[in-house]
Amino acid sequence: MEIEDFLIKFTGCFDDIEPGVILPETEFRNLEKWDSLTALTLLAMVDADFDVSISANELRSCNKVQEIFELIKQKKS
Amino acid sequence: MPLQYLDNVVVKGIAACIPKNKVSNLDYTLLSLEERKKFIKTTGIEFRHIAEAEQCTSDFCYFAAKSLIDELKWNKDEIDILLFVSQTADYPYPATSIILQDRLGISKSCIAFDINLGCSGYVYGLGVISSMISSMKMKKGLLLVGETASKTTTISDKSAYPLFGDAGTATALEFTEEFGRMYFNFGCDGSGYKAILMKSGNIGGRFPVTVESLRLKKVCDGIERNDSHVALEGIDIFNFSIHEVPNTIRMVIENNNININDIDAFILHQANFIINDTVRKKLKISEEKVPYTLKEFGNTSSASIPLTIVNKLRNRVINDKIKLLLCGFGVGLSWGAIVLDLEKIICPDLIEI
Repeated sequence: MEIEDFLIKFTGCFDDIEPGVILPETEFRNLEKWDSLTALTLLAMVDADFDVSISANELRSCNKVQEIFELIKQKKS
Repeated sequence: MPLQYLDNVVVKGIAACIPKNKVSNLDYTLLSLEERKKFIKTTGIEFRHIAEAEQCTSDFCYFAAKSLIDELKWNKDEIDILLFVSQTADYPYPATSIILQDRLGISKSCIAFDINLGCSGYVYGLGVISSMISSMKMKKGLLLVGETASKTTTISDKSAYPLFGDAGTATALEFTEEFGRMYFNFGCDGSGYKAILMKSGNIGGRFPVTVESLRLKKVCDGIERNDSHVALEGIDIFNFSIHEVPNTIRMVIENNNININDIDAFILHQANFIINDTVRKKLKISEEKVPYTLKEFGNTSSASIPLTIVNKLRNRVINDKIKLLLCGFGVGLSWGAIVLDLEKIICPDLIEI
């Protein structure tokens, strides 16, 4: 899995964010559209596309999009 | 491994009753209009029927049971067991089932007790009552399952308030000399008890009701509640559901050598759309086989499975024989799945009071 691929999928968890707006260094909690429903949509995507689950604590420890990507990669390996 | 099926019990009827008072999440002004639309899209929940202050779970169950007994033309003296499954009983004690025995005019020789379970309650209730009817050769049994979950939350908690609707249901069961087999799988995980928690509810609990416990406290923006309101941990509930639900469904099917293609419909507890649809996709079940009533009624806790049968499968269960897989999951954490046949049962129109 490449980070570009993950960014497209991550952006897809939001209704109306253009591709290219969310970057690896984006602190996703600061996005205006981020909320608890987006978190569930993200977890559903990660489960469906990567067959990995992320706990509430693990998600809490991530600030940047890159960190979620690394977490998934680590869990896949 | 315990026995995972039982024989000689047949479901004769299912009825459901909801409050007349209908509210729309589009009118929930604690969220912006954009947030309301996102909420409805993600959870699938648009409308909810909300009990009036004086309406209790037992009232909805009472009217569902009354209409079912009337349509079945049951002799009430033959009702040997009455079970009430709910977390919103009339009183901390006595058990609401006992009050309902008198209210419904059922014989004093009836066994009546309550089971305190939420979203998994319908399948647990069905397992317990069927097992007692089968083993004790009882004639008839009444399973009353419902919740007024809207009363356990408050309008100032955006994480819980727009999810829950209210309903009461009744399921009629009889002993049969014929096959009448049901298959079960049950489980629980107490380590997750905080995921769905009402911390304080009565005087004798771990956190007794006090003036202070009833004071609204701010948890974060958009979440203000007291200790007698339900507190939900969304991510924990999601993760639990998408693992244990497919698991229990696979177990009941595989352990009993059931062909998944023989199941006509999968009735999942109506938690919310994103959970239920993730489960459906994991099991690779087609959309037509998984009916939803989230849009109309929201999450009605233990009532959601029978309510969905009455609302979405009424014609089929009245006219045909269909094989259903029912799966409840939630507060506890607790879960279970049942496979059973419903054949030409009595199913009154959805009742509103």
